[in-house]
Amino acid sequence: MRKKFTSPIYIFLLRKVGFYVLCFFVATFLIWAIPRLMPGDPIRMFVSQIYSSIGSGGPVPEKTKLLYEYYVKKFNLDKPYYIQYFTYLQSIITFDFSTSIAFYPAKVIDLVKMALPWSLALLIPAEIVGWIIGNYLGALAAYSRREKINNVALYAFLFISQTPYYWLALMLAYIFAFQFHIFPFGGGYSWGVTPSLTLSFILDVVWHYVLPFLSLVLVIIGGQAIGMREMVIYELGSEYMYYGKSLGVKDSKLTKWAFRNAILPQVTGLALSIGSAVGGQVVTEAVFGYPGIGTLIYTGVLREDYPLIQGGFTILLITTLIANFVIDILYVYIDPRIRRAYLGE
Amino acid sequence: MYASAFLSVVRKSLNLLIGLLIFLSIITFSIVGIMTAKHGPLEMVDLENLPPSPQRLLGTDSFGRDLFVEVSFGILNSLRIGVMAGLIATFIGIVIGATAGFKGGIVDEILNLFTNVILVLPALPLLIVLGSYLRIRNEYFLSLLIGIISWPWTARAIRAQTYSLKTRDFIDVSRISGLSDLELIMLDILPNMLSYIVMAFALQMGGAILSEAGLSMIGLGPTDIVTLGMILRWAYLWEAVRRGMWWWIVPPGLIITLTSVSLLLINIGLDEVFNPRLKRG
Amino acid sequence: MEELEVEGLRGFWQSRRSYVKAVDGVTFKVYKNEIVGIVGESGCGKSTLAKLLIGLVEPPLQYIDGKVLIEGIDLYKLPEKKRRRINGEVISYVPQGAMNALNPTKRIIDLITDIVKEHNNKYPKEQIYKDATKNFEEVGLSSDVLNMYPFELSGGMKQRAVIGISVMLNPKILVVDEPTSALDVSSQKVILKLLWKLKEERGMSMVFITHDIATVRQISSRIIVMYAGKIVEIGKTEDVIYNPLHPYTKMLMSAVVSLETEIRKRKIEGIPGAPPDLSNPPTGCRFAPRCPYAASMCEKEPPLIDVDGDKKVACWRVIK
Repeated sequence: MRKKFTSPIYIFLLRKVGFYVLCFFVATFLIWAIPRLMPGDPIRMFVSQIYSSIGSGGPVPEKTKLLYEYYVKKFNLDKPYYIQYFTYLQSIITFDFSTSIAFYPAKVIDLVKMALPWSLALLIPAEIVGWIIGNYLGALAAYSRREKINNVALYAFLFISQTPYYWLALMLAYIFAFQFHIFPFGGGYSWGVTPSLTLSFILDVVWHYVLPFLSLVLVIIGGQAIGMREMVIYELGSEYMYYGKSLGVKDSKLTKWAFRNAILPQVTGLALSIGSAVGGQVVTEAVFGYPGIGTLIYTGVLREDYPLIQGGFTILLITTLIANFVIDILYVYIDPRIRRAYLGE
Repeated sequence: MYASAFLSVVRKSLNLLIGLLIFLSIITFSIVGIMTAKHGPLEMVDLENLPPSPQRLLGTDSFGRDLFVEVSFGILNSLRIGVMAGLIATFIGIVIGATAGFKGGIVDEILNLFTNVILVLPALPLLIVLGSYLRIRNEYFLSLLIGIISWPWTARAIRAQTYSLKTRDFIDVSRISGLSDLELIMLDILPNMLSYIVMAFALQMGGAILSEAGLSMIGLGPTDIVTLGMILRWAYLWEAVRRGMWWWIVPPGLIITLTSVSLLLINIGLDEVFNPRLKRG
Repeated sequence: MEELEVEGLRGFWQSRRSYVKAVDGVTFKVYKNEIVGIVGESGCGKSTLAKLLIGLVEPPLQYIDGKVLIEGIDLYKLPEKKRRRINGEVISYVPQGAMNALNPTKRIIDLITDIVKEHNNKYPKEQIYKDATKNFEEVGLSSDVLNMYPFELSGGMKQRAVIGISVMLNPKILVVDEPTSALDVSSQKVILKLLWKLKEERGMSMVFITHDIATVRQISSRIIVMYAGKIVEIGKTEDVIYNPLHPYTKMLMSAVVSLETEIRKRKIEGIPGAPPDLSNPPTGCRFAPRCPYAASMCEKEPPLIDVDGDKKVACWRVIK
């Protein structure tokens, strides 16, 4: 029993979990501490501004006073900093991001719970599809014997990988919504339609899903393709390729060798891509008014709804960290050398 | 004499040449636009929503502002933020990377851990949260904010280089002659890494421009100046897509993209020049 | 009977503006069951020659002309497919830097299986494993190694593994490029013994390419001396070392012989001057610029001719 828990894989897992937990605490600390260190503490200002920003119609004095006291108590603003931080930590762990201002009286956690599935539905397929297609195209470009295709491909991939997701979103909306009327301008589903589990609703959602999806996927493809092309080119020139050839290994098999070795670092690249895509998605969703976390954050910024912004960020943070962790574990299984080192099979 | 030196460098790398050309074209565009402007970028000078014409090269936006002038100033300001944020990020990256690579041991491990943590955090969302706290949003605060989030890549690159340089002989000679650690870093290591520092800066600058654009789009851009990101934001807010105003949407985004591409090509090109590799076939 | 016959072989590297004439008219024979050493400075074309011998020429290297006859078959007249079959089955290659010759993400046995199946698809896996075990025993590696990944092997083990893999299909000729250069002295000895054993037990011929004469002389029967893409001398090992005819060989050997008892010289040092730029080699004798005996006749390139039976030299002085 004891042997099992000191084996390399458990130590590895422990270290990884520890690392990501550390990341979580560092990030949440940053977003808690920085405003309090700034001149004119934004949180205090935010709270005192509640007088003027709740709902529509004039503020009702008793209600706003109650709300003010609620927030002072909630954030422990009248207590020393370390107690404030402790309260904050507690709330984070329990996913209690307090109440939204923009969507008062909705609780942030409820808003986030509604928006998260939409965002994940966009992020995960876009990353997977983008990764697969991107790596495939990158490999194709690298294998191409003709120098011209190789170079043109490089510049094309480079260009698309650097297009801001949200600009691509605007462009796609212009082309496909405005010019060709194929897809809608925005939203998660059509106006006035009530969400239900019917086929027509699902199709409606898909119809609204296409452009946001494309905005993400195309950029991801570009980035992956560049990386994969470089990796394959590197592998193709490796000594082991020449050696295999010198012993009569045919091109089809050699291609498989190179591909398998080139794809490994690309798995790590997937983790990096997620960090970037999560950010780009926020703005892309806002552009389309797609009902995900991004649009929530956008509204939060617009209305200075700090609980909403922080809540949205925390969820995105957790998503990113979990994704990275999953990929780290995946990599152990995929790379036979690491697998051997940690699992000793 | 400088011309021939320049030519020989550029001939080694087509990518460098293309990158520089694109970058310089963008700067030229901006200069032309600014010099020929008869009014400020945010002044209403004409009817709204006009498509491009010989008088208004990029048409007008929904405020009746000349987009050609707007974009020209936007390029200037976006580049300025890019440079400032890039410098800050590169500087922090050098300090952390060189210290980690040079000192090694526990210092290296701690700094490495710190670098990896910041690296994993989703950048734009973090920028958005922190940016939302800023009461004053001018180019300086924004550059600072972007700079202190994006340094990890540079730190890694610089650390690797410092580490490899550290073990070379000439370092030992300097060490024996009694130079302090700081002097060693400044006099021996950094000059040999100049190429990497320049390359890192190019990357940081490109990334900073994209970050600023993202912040502007979400509504946290600079409040007092025009940047390419702000132009895109206005285009979005004023429904440029629904109105088919492609001239409002295409130029700013295209230039952002091309700026980032050109800086990336410059980075790749510098790598080809400073670290030539045997061409295979 | 010649196992391998090379005639007027030429292979150039194409760089942006010019050709590097790495192998420029090379002629020699390798007989059955002998080990021939090819020695020369770095950059004289030895490694290029290796690639040309096995017929695996990839850009920017180009085959220009010449014959490589393996058991009478002209390698460069064969179609690509047939040539690939010969690779591994008739002539095998042990590359310089065997460290990197093994696919890092494959176990040794998987690599061997891949290779064997390319030649004979019906070969059952268990049989491959058995044969691999036998082969590896011959090179002094246990069958455990077969289940390992390259990163688990030491440098010497990797070198032996590569040799073991290269002889899996029982080739008649083995071209080894600097098999000992990256190893410590005791590992070197092991490799030399191994190669000799393989030659004896399997009746193979070998072409042993190296800059380390002190090493190769221990197992080679003849030595070929290369300089600037051309052969300058061929002869029995002891003849070439103790009675060198060509001025270049003389200089090489003086460096080795005088210190051989104390130091195993790894590099050929102490010869003034530098080898010529092979993208623009000198006309006439290529060694003339560095040769202390250079005369006006050396402006014309000397041919490689027979002297005293089994020796060959390319030098006007010797030809008299």
